[in-house]
Amino acid sequence: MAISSSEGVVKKGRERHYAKWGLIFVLPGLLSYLFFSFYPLMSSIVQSFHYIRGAGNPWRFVFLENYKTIVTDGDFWNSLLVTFGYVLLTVPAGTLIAFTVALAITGIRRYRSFLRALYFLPSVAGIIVIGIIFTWMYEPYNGLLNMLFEKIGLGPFLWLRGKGTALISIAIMTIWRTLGYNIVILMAGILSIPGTFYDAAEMDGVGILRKHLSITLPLTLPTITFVVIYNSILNLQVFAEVFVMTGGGPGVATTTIGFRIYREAFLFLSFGRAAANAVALMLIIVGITLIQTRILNQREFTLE
Amino acid sequence: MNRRKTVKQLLLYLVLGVIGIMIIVPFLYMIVTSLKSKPEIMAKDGSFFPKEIIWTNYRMVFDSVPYLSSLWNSFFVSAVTTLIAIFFSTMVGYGIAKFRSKVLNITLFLFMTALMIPPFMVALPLYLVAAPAGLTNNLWAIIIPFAVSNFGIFLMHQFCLSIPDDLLSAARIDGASEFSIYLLIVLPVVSAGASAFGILKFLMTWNDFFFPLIMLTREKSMTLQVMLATSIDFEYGVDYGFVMALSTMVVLPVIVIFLIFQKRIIEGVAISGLKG
Repeated sequence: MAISSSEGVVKKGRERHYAKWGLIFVLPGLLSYLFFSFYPLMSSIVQSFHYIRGAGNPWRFVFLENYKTIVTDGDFWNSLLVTFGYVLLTVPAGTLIAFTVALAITGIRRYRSFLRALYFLPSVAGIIVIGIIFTWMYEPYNGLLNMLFEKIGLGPFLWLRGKGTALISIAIMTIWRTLGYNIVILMAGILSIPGTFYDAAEMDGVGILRKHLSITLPLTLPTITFVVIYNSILNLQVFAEVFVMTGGGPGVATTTIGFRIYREAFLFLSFGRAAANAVALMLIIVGITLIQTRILNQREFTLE
Repeated sequence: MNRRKTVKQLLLYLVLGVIGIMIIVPFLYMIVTSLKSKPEIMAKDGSFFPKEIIWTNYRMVFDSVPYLSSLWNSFFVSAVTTLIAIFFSTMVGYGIAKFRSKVLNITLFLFMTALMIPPFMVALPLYLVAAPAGLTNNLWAIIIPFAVSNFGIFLMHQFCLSIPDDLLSAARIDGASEFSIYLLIVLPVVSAGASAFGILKFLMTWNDFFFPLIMLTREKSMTLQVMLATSIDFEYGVDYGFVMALSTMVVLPVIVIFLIFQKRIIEGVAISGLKG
């Protein structure tokens, strides 16, 4: 009896010791979260209810004025359309291509890691450098792409200079740039499928397409979900590509929400309205992420 | 059956080879353009490779833009951010993984939701605080906010879960303090994972754009990405020879890093995908 109660004291002391040290170790993370995640989030919301002309100037409370302005502003709806268009142009095609190539790489016997590394190169090169290279390749008069297309009797295309083609041109670059990253993630998912699943299919004499449709696809669905959501979140925020390649043009053909936020804040010095745009963007991101998780998880459930 | 398999293999190599060429050509185009003279670049039907190799574009990189100071700024910001990120993300991840309590689990959830907050929402309020305080063009102002990486905490938490508890309690019985256990046991044990995260964080910071763009307005304090992006004006006839030479010099350091750590980088990405 006496022993067990003293054990209890020791245990309680140890628990307190753990709780204390756990908190000490987690503290830098909590402080960083407080200052660099929570504060900016709350401040953005408060900002969006104010009129703020540049940094350092007093904030004037205008409540929903900024939101009213952006909702009645055709430019905002256009930027929504452009941003969704960009996501629709990049994510489904990008994921499908990456999945197909990942399957192809897992199908070969040699040079697997060499090819994977080669494809990964654009992922480390940085958006600015790649954006500049592609702007040069897309140059209508003396750029590489029109020169190549003319050799086979196509074009010339306007690429970034055309209202109808500018967004597609940026999307093509993004699919090219993110291919390697997506392949690495998808390959990790594909390679984690136990070989026994395929052995059984092989014994039944199932064809390649059937094999991948009924084994690989459902079993890599969690990984595919991750790729779709990850790319959607990133591409909804597209900014650097637009900044360096088109500046939002021609006209407003590539003015995405991300670029609009930058323009409102740093060209028009209207930080309140920029914040309202940013809040709208975050709501869209959270909404789309929730919807995608829902749909893709449901599909996984029905397939199993 | 065997012949069909060989044909299939050849076909796969062919397709993958073509994609490989499509990946490499833009980089090649950047390099060959950087070695061409202006008239050769302007010509409509020029050849892919330069007729005559010219180095003046590279001389311009050192003469007409602050390349070396930007290179140093990029290196300083990336290296310091990475070191802080490794130390603190591992510390927080370890705290959550090994000192199990309900409070700590909530913090993990907090750090994960923070991954969904768009960088715009973080950047604008921080700018509004930093600019009046005279912190623009201060490199520490772009280092500190992203140094304790939420992504890193999540990743290192996963690695720390696999540390054997016996190892930690043995050290405690020997009378080691909690902090020295972290420094002398935990960090070395998870060093493989920490270095994979570190290289990824270095590359991410090196290529980071939005926050450095708004915070660094003086040429002398710009990072390479900001300097490159702001030194080009597409409206008035771009000098592509010079721009490609500058791009080559901007991307060269990361290509070298990639070639050295290629295996670790790709493993790091693969792990982050599986754990996410």
